[in-house]
Amino acid sequence: MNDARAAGAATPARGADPLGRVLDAVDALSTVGAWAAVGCIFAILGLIAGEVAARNLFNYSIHFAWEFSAYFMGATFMLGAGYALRAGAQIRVNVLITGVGGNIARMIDLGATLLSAAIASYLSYALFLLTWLSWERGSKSAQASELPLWIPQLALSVGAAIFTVQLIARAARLLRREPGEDARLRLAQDIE
Amino acid sequence: MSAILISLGVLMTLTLMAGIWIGPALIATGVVLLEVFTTRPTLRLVGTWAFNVLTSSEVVSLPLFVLMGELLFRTRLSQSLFSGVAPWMWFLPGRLLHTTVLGCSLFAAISGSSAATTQVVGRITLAELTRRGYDKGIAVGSLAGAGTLGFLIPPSIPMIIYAVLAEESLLRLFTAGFLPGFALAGCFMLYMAARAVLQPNLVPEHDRRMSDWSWRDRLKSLVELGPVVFLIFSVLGTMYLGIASPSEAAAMGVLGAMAVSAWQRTMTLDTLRDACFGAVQTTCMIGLIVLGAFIVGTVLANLRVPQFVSTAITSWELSPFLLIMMLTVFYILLGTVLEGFSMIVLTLPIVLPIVQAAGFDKVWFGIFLILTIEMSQISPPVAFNLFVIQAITGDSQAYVARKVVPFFLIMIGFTALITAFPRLVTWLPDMLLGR
Repeated sequence: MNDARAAGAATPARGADPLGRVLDAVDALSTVGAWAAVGCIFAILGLIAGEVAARNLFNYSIHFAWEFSAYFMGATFMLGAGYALRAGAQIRVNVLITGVGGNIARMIDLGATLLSAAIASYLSYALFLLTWLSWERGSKSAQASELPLWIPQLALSVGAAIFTVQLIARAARLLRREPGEDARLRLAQDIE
Repeated sequence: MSAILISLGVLMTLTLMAGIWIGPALIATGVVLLEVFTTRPTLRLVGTWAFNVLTSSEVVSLPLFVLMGELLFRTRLSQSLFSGVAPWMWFLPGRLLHTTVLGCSLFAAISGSSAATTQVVGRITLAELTRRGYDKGIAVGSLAGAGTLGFLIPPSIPMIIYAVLAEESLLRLFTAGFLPGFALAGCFMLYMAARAVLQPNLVPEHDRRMSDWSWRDRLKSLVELGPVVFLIFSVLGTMYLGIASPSEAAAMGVLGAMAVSAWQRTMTLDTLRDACFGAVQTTCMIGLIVLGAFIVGTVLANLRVPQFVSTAITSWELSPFLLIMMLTVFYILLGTVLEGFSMIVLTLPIVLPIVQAAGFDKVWFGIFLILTIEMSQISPPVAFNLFVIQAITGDSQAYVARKVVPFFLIMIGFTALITAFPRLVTWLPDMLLGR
């Protein structure tokens, strides 16, 4: 599959390096998340363009277009977060890390990565708990679609989990003295 | 209350300085404050808030505008903009120097980002101006200054972020950006024209004396601008003719960008994939900081921090003008170390109630904030527009930063102008959209 190949190409052959293979697997997982996020963006595009066309051409409104595109957007945000981290697109204040340099910088970076992983796991836990409660209570969307809320919530939770795992993998990479980011993945134009 | 404020300051400073990513740092700050100072069920609230803000329909245009920008970035619009605008510049003192500002203004009307605007316009324009013998300094400075118009002239990505965090109508904000955006572009052009009159040697002698373009060429150049006009219509036209809301206009923009890319034969599977993955990277970066900002903002509102701070500051009885000037200085200083998005999300929960208490309109403050972010884009050491230009020309940051100073000063003057005359900002949205 394309994803596995892309992830495999991003790092040298691992051979007898079990942890290395695990890290590659995490990258592959993030890439799958990114593909899912791309799919979600196109779903939003399809829904909204469809709604515009239906309303202006046939005077008919796709009543769930808005609601579903918002769910797809939430899924996009979380599902691609791990991949964005790996690509170095997530932002932080790095004056300290670039300021001190060397081994101390590596230690600070490691600490920041681990703390971020702890916060991300808290967020994942909060989202999975929300999903579980919605499932148990049978919560449905307040809109006309009455979509069971656990479906979009599960997508966000999975995304948060991938982000958490990628942060932990990043900590492992720093310990192995590998770079935290894969510069070849950086595609986004600096938006600002 | 002072315990809350001190904890807020300490938590934010520590988590951010330690190099924790901005989104997680803000989430942690919010969670700790909620856990320590209230008895509310933190875990459940965080889950619900996260889901609600990430699926709020006001933000749906964001991934689409980002994708549109990534697609346009990979087209040949740089060339179209220059060839379309240049033949008309004969009539202005300063001649082709104005291609930077006009090109940026046009591209800003289809792009929500300022670095993309700088890069797309700069790629061809800077090379052409230098080749023809124009003064490089003023070309570089004007490009850096005008590139920031990408934020002010709609569509605008930071306005989407502001709209969701300040609970303000996005269409209103977009509309409010037009007049200041074009007025600022006008100020830049006036300055360059004045410089060209005072120092004729900024413009090469050949271009001063004769034009390379006939009327025939000028009319042909309008065809070059076709794709740009088509895209402006796809986005802004659909929005203001009432065919589409901002999110729908964004979807039209993506389809339009794909059409232009196909027409210019730059659309391949590879560019499409790169554009999509680039869009995912940027979207997820913004999503995470918006999530953090929303959580910390909601926690602070729950703890009644904004009311407390705004009451305290109101009791100082500063004049509104002085308050805004102080905030301008504050944001300019902050802008030297932070980039724009973080600046909005870190300060908004506290600052917005203060300016509202001082009698400023939320839309007005949004535009003010966009202006300060634009200044932060060109104030070193952390200045994304300068990085972009350095990458194009290979000049040192000190050189580019020095050349941008006049344009930076114009922006400060312009900020003072809209503070003195807030109607410059609010008139157009009031007229078009009602009060």
